[in-house]
Amino acid sequence: MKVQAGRVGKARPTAKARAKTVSRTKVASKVEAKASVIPAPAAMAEAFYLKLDPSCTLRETTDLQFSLVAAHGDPVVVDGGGVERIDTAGLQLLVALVLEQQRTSRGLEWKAASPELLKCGRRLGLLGVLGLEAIAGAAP
Amino acid sequence: MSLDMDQFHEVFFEESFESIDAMEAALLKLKPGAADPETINTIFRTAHSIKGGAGMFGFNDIASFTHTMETLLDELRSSKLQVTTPMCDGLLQSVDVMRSLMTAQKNHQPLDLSVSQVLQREFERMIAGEGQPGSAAPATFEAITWRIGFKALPALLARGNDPLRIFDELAGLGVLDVVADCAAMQELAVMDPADCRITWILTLTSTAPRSAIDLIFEWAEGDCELSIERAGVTMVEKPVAAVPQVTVAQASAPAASLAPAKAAASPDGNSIRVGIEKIDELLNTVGEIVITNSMLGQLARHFVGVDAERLRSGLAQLETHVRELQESVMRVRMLPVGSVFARFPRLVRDLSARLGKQIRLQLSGEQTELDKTVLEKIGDPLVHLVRNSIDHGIELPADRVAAGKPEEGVVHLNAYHNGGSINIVISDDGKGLDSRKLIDKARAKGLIDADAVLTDEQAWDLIFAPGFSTAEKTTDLSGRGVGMDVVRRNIKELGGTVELHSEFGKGTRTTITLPLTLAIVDGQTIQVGTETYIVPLTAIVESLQLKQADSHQVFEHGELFHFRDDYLPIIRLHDVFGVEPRSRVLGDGLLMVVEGDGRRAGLFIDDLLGQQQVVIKSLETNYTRIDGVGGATILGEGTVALILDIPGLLRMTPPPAPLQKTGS
Repeated sequence: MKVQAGRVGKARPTAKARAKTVSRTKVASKVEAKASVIPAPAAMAEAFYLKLDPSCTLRETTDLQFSLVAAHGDPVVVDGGGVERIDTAGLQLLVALVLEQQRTSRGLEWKAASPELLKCGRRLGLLGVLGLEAIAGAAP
Repeated sequence: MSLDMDQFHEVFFEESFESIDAMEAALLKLKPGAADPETINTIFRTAHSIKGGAGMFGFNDIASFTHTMETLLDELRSSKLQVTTPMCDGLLQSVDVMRSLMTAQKNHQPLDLSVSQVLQREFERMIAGEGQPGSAAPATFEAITWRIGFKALPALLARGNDPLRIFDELAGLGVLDVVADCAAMQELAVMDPADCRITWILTLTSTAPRSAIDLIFEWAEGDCELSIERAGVTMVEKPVAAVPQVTVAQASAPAASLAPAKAAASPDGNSIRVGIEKIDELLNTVGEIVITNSMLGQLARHFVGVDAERLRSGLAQLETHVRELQESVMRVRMLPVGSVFARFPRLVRDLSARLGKQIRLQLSGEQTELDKTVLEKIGDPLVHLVRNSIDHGIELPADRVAAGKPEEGVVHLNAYHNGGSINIVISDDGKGLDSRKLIDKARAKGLIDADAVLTDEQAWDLIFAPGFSTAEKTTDLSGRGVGMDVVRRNIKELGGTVELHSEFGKGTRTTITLPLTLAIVDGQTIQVGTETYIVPLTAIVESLQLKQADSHQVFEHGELFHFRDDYLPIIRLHDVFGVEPRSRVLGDGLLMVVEGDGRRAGLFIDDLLGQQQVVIKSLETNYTRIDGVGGATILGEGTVALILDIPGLLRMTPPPAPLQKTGS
């Protein structure tokens, strides 16, 4: 699974390219978070931006794990609006990231979550732990 | 990580086609009003596994269709619905639909959903209870609440069992509540994404039986810790089932793709699926070893000394082992003829219903084994012969009663070993063939002379003549006169023969004789000039020495010789193949009487060399087709010898033709 990181609105490197450089790009506080797992208002100003790839399945977990590990340590903004396919392995990694951010008291915000992400998260009973209940509740 | 999905698709399609065959066989046993629960269970399980596989690979249309079918079968299984005749017909029709959808999906062609959608709507109507006799549906249903504990073991995801798909299927049974526990999860940096550490407590309220839940977890068995407890029961007016939804897992999910690999092994784990090309490769290599072994044997003959004897003895031992190996590989290619017979119960059922006849199909000898290639090619000729029996042979019930026969006619398919070949016999107790009618028709069509006198056998043989049909009225099943000659030609191409025996008013018996295999032939090596040829032993009648004076030149018939009560043409092989013979004088060589296509001829050759089993190498694949030559082989000394195609060779010579004009 490719995860894109970078400034909001700018072209972002692919996961492969990013994997080589392991660079972190900080995000300005312009991110409009729909839900927040851990309230960390000050920290969110310098958040790590993660855009999830359309496919977040077992096949892509190595890339995803790499990106998530790279993200942790900073507050994170996750954009799951483009997720078209996700399975238990993909969701489990996201849960691990959320729990990691909680454990280290760093913030995590959801910028967006696709209907597929919400549907699969609900089916596995993970909406609560992922902090997606608010988005799911607001979803049509 | 990238996976070639095609190889998994291939396995899925292969498995599915087998499952559909099994489903069809079970459906044929389904009797309206008195359905056997085990039969329904078998059909349900088959539909369920096809649906699961199709869903996993993203073949949504197939998954959706089988889901509706499965729902209907589930209603039958739980006795909420009764089996009716339209239901049996619809389910059988759905087998055809699934076959055609699968074939289209396999060939990457667009799916024609017109029939499947009509059937799906029909099934939905049946599920709603329409068309059920009396008040089949009970007034209330027992809705059971199940408490299911599910904990994944490390291999669960890697084996393609995604809890997401499993829970989706459960939700299809009723109202599902899911609570996840993530307490056992490892830290992000050290966790293995393929090892699912989340555990779940599920609460399912459903009117479906416990077996339906078990079935959903069937594939995950051994890869999870599972507990299913009954937590409560309530009575409801309507079945508690979610809106039918098809579980469609990610087409690209590699985890899902691994499941068919598991499914490819047979349930008892005692067999594996191997591509036929791999076996052919093995057989080819074994053939090469046989040839090399034979070459070494010939070389060793010239050696002298103490070690030479040991070498020869070692080579003889090697030859025995190689022959055994060759036979073992040949046996791998053999399949029971029952796999071809399996298509006939449906054929007989459909055709007899359409023609208003009562027909019982008897099958025997299904375990008789035949080479896979032969088996694949014998299917169509057999279908034609069985159709003929049903259409032309078996009479209408009233006619049968009038003829003093039981109303129900019998079509019998039998297979058995007969020496080095296999016989398949198609017999019926129908009206048989009327020789006089056959002869009259042949005369009218100009196939025989007006004054020709034919034996019964010769008259029956007319049926195999191109353009011959005995049906007074042509139906869409048979009777267009384009069938039996094609049947005979196809069987001949397999190296087999077809014979017909009939008794007017009592029935017809067609016997097909086929070689056990197409890869090896028992042959007689013969010499013509400096060349060596192989004649298949099955084609040889006898060999004799002739004096020049015994042959006669006959106008328009070439060179003939007297053999028993017949005159046979002489085929000089050196002329056919353009070889310089040792002698052109008949008395200096031998005449080998051969038979093929019901005709006989004498092959003039220089000498007989010996008999041996040879591995056939296709000339068409390696070079080009040559008339009169069926293939080639490599002899012990390393030279190539042509294998003669006797029927082909006979076709190249003018026919002696008892049916032809002999001149007045």
